[in-house]
Amino acid sequence: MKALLWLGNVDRRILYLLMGFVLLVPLVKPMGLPISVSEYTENVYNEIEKLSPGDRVFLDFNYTPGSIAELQAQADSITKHLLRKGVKVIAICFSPEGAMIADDTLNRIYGGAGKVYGEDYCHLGYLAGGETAQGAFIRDPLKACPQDFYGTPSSSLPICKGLSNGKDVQALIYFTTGYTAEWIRQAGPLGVPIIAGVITVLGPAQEAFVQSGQLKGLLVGMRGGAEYEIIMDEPGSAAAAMDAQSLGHLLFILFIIFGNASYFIQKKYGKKPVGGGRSHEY
Amino acid sequence: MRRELPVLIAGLSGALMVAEYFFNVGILKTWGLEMQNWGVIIAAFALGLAAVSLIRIHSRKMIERRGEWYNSVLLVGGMLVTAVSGIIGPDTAMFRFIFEDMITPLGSAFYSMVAYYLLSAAYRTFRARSFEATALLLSGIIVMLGSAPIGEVIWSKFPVLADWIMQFPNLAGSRGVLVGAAVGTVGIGVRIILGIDRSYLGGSE
Amino acid sequence: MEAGRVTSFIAFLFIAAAVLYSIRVAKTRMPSIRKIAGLDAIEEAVGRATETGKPLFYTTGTADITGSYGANIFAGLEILGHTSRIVARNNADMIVGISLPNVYPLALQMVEQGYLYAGKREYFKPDSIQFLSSTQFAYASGCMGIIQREQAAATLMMGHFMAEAILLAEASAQVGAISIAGMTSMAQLPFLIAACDYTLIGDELLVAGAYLAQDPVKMGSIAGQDWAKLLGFILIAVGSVMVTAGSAWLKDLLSL
Repeated sequence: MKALLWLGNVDRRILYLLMGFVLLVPLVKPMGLPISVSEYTENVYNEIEKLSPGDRVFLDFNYTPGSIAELQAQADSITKHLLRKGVKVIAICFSPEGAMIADDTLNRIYGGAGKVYGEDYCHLGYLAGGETAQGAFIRDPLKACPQDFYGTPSSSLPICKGLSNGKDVQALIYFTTGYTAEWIRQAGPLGVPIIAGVITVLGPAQEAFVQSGQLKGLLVGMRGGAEYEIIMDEPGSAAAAMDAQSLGHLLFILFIIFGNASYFIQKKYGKKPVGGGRSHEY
Repeated sequence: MRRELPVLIAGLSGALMVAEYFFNVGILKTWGLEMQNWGVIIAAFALGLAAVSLIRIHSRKMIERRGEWYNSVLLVGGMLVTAVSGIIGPDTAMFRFIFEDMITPLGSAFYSMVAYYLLSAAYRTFRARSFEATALLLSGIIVMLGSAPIGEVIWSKFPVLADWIMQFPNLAGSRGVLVGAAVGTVGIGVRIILGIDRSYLGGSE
Repeated sequence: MEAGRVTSFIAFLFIAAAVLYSIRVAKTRMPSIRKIAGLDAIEEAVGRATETGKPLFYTTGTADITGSYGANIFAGLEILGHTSRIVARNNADMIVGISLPNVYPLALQMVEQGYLYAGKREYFKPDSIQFLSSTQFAYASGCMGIIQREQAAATLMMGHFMAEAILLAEASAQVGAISIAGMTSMAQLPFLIAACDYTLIGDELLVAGAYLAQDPVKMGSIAGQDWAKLLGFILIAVGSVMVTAGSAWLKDLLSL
C-alpha cells in the first residue's frame, strides 16, 4: 500500500524521464507491432483512387514545423499517391511556415520524380487573411494569387490554365493543425470534394463533418499517416514511430491508474486526497 | 464621427457579405469577392504591423536598457536577418538554414513538450471523483488503447470500442458544441452588423 | 436566392429576429443567466494576487479578431476589461500577454478603461501589456516564462488556444497559481478542463461579456440565441424521429 501511495505521488521529473526513455527505446529498437488500416484511411485512399491522370488538386499545407511529426507523414504519403495517379497538384498555404513546408514537400516528391514545375505541379505561396483569404482564393485563385511562390505570374503557368474557381479542380486536400470547418464553409458550397489530414486533437471535432459527408475523407494524427504509409506499401517514419506511441500511451494509462489507486486509498483511510483540481504537489 | 464611421463600415460590409452569400445577384457577387480580396490585403498589412510593433517595443527596451534588454537585441537582430534573407528569396541558403535548422527543430522541441506536460497534468488531475469523471477516464483510456497498435494486441475489440465512442457519444457532444457556437457566432454577427455590439472598437461603447 | 441556402436564410432571419426581440424585452425585464463559476472566480483570483503580492497573468490566446475565432477574442477582451477593473480596485498587479498585433491595441485600451472606471487611471502601466509573438510556441514560451519568473498568483486564459493551452495551464499549476480558462473550440477544451481550476466551456465564454456587464442589450441577445438553439433542438429531435420512421420530408425541407 505504501508503494501504491508513493506511485500516486511521483515527482514529475521522474515522470518526464520515464516518458523520454519509453519513447526513445522503441525508436532505437523497434518492436514491430502490427498496424491495421482503419475505414477512415481506406476512404481517403479510395477517394484519391477515383482521380484520373491530368486531374488537378489543391493542396493546402496549414501546419507549422512543430506539427511535422504528426502531419508530414500524411502529407508525404498523399502527395506520393497523387504522383502515382498522375494528378497535377497546386499548393496554396494560409500559414507562412506552411509555404516553406509545401515547397520542400513538392520539390522532394514531384520534383524528385522528374515532374516539371509549372506543368505538373506549382506552388502559389502564402496568402494572408485566414478564412477571408480562403474564400477569396476558392472563388478566383488567380486573382487572389497573381504570383506564385517564386514570383512567376500564376496565369503564365500551364497548370493554371482555365483555373477560374474551385469548381475547376477535382479535389481539395488540406493538412492542418487549426482548421475546424473553414474549407467546408468556403469550398463546400462549390461542390469541391474535400479531404482532410488533421492532428489527433482535432479528430473528434471533425467526426461530425465526415458523418455528414461534407468531408470525403479524414486522416487523423501520426496514426493516420502510418496507416497511409501501410496502405501505400511504403512504411516510413510514422509507421516506425507507432511502437513509441504505443508505449507512451501505456505509460500514460499506467500512471493514471497509479494516481487513482493512491487517491482511493487516501480517501478510504481518511487522509486528504492529493490530486484533482487545485493540487500543487508532485 | 470617430466611432460612428467604423460602425457604419462594419455594418455595411457585414450586410453585404451576408446578402452576397444568400442571393445570386451579379453585383453582390462582384463586390463580395472584391471585399474578400481587400481583406487579404489588410491582413498582409497586419503582418507588417506585427513586425513594426515588435521592433518598436523591443527597441524601446534596448534604448532604455530595461529588464533583460539583451534578449531584445537577439530578437530584433534575428528578425532582421530572417526578414532580409527571406526578401532576397526563400531559396537562399541563409533562409533555408534558419527555417530548416533553427525554426523547425525548435518548433518540434516545443511541441514535444506537450506530451510531457500532458502526462503530468493527467497524472495530477485525472481522478475518478464522480460518475462523469469516471466516464471521462474510462473513455479516454479506451480511445488511447484503440488508437495505438498495442491496444489491438492486448484486446482486438479496443479499436472497435474506440470507434464507437468517437462516432456516438463524442459526435453527439461535438455536434451540440458546434451548433451552439454557430448560433452564438450568428448572434454576435447580427449585433455587429446592426451596430449594437461595438467591442471591436476597444473599450466600452 | 442561391440554391441550397433557403433554409439557412430563414434560420438566419429567425436568429436575428429572436435576438432583436429579446433585446427589446430585456430593456424592460432583464433575463437571468445561471451562475458561471469561472467568472465568479475572477474576484477570488484577483484577491489571491492582492494577498500574495504576486501578479495575475492574463492572456487571450493565438487567434486574430479577423479570424473564425474573433468572437472568442472579443469575449476575452471584455473579460479583460472587467478583470482590470477589479485589479485596479484591489491595487493588485496584472501582466497581459498578447499574441497578435491586432489585439494588442485593443487590450491596451481595455485595461486602461478598466483602471479609468475604477478611478485609478494613474496606476495604469502600459508596459504591463506585452506583445509577445504571433508565432505559436514563441508566444507560449513567453507566457510560460512570465508565469514562472513572476510566480503568478493566478492565470486567466480567455480566448482561443491550440497546443499551447496545456503548456500554459501546467506552467501555471507548477507555480501554484489559480487557473481560469475559457474557449469554444473542442480541440483543447479537455486539456483545460483537466488542468485548470475553472473552465468556461463553449458559449459560457461568449456570454461572459453580458454576464459581467449585466447589460440589457447583451443579456437580451443571449436570450434570443437560446430561442434559436431551442428551435435547433426541436428540429433535430423531430427530424431524428421522422428519419428513423422512414420519412425524409423534414430532411428534404431543411436541404432547400
